[in-house]
Amino acid sequence: MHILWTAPLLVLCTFGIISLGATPGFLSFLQFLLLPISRWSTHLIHTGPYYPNVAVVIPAWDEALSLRTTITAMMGQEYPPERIRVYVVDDASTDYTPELMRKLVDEYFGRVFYLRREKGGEGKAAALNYGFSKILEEPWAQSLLIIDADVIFTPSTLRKMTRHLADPTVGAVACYIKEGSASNHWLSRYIAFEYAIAQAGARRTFNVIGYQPCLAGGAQLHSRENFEAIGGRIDTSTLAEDTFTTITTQQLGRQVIFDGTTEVWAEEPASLGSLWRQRVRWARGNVQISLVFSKIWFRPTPNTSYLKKIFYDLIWFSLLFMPFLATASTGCLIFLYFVDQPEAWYLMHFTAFFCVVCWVYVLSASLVADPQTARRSWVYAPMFPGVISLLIIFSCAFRPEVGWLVYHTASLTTGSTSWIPSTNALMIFPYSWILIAMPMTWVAKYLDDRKVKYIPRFIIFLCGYGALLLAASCSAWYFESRKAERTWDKTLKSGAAVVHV
Amino acid sequence: MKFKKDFRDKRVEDAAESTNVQGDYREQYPAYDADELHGEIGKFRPLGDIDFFSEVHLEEFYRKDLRIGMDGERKFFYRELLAVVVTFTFVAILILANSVHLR
Repeated sequence: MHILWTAPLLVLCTFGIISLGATPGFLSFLQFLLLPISRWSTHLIHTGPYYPNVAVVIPAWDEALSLRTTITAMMGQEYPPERIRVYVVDDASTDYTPELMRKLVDEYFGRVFYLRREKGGEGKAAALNYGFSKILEEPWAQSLLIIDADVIFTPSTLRKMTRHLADPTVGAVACYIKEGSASNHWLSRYIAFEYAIAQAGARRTFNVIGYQPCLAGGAQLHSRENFEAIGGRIDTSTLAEDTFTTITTQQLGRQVIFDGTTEVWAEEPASLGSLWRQRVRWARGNVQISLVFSKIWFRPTPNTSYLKKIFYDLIWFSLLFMPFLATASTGCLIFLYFVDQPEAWYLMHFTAFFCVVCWVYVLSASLVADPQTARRSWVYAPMFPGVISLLIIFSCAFRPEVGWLVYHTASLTTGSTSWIPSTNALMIFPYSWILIAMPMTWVAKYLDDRKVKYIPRFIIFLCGYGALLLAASCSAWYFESRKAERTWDKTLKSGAAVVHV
Repeated sequence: MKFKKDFRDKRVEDAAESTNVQGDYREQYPAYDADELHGEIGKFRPLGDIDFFSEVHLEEFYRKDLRIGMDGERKFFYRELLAVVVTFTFVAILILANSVHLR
């Protein structure tokens, strides 16, 4: 007799938890279904030929390798030259930033300004606030553009961003930050695809919802009115200063617009260790933001209906709690495997079916959203969940249990079955795979930190870039639970960012 | 702020007229070579060309961008429809495959 009849409550709870594990995928699927209709919610029809005075603020901490390219690109904007001023806030750099900036200030006299803090290391937000304190003393700036020191603006980007500020209800504008590492290495291709999902795809859907989770800190434009309304400074209490600014803007009733037609290029981490630290910082910032804004969740905002806001909040929390949901779901599947294998198999089958459909749609919708990235990352994009995960979900979705498949493949290959565990025993592997994959990605990061070649890449190929992000998220929760110090880990850059075409 | 007041209300007319902008401004200003960037910043437009940014040209820029942007939105819609079609085709294949017992 099935356990469903002997302990229905237990099984229903188990089913419920396993279903919760599929929630992030389901919500992503629903979210990406909004992409085709984003055409009708475009903000382009509310724009105007508006070219305000823009104060570009660049915080820099040992960024001499990148600064010249960034400033040159900004000076080359198709924008009235007298309406752009670049302020580089040197956060007590120890490299040759001061010498370089002296040259650049001479070269672009009256358009590039250099501000230096003698006491640095307090993080990006502190450096930015120092710059704002100087800029906002004068009435010149009508808008503020915050960019990272390694971001290359293509010539039309700034004017495409400022046109949205012609609508007085818009407080801030974000653009599509694309991966622009010159070396175009394997990790950069994964990151490029991740940004296609998270920005070209997801942020357009947030335009439809009417609430953006985050203006990327690498390139965000604020109207002066909005920036002063949110306090005239960047919050320093969390590690996600950009998300804080975005949420505050929207809570005060102004819109935040993502313009997918604007592109900037930024160099992203070149090593697993650097990427890991960056993502842990981001994830910790999101945990902190969830607590800081505890009173806004599941409540409507001035620009978003109740239903849309609930949908947005569900997406936010499903991603935030994904490590727990994945772990609990896997645990329940293993539990069910030991008490009732047929039930466990049916659940695995339907979950895998569902995961495959979600993945195929999110993958194809993201790739067509950014054809350039699709051309660049077409090999890496399908492998995002990892080869083993893909094998598991595809084979389970197509009915033959993985154990059965492995068993018969091995027996056909070797001609013997005596050494192979039974198919039922093998099924424990796919059920528990995600719990194995996450630590494996940490091992890949560990080896990469120790300059081991090829193996980290192979592990990520097998276990998945997605599992790496999940593991970094687990790490973030661990640090937050221990109330670890909120230090700003600088992401190391080589200064070799390019525009990929 | 003048721009904001003057042009925001007639942006629809601007968009309608945008097709009247003759040629590509890149042809008018060959120094601009952004389409062939290939990551080389040095090819950007020379500095200090204030006339290049006369109010008329700024309007033209805007109209061009708007027209290209709206056209891009239309293409984006069809591309995303393609993704929906691919997914539903895949679902159909999955359901068919599941209706056949492989064991």
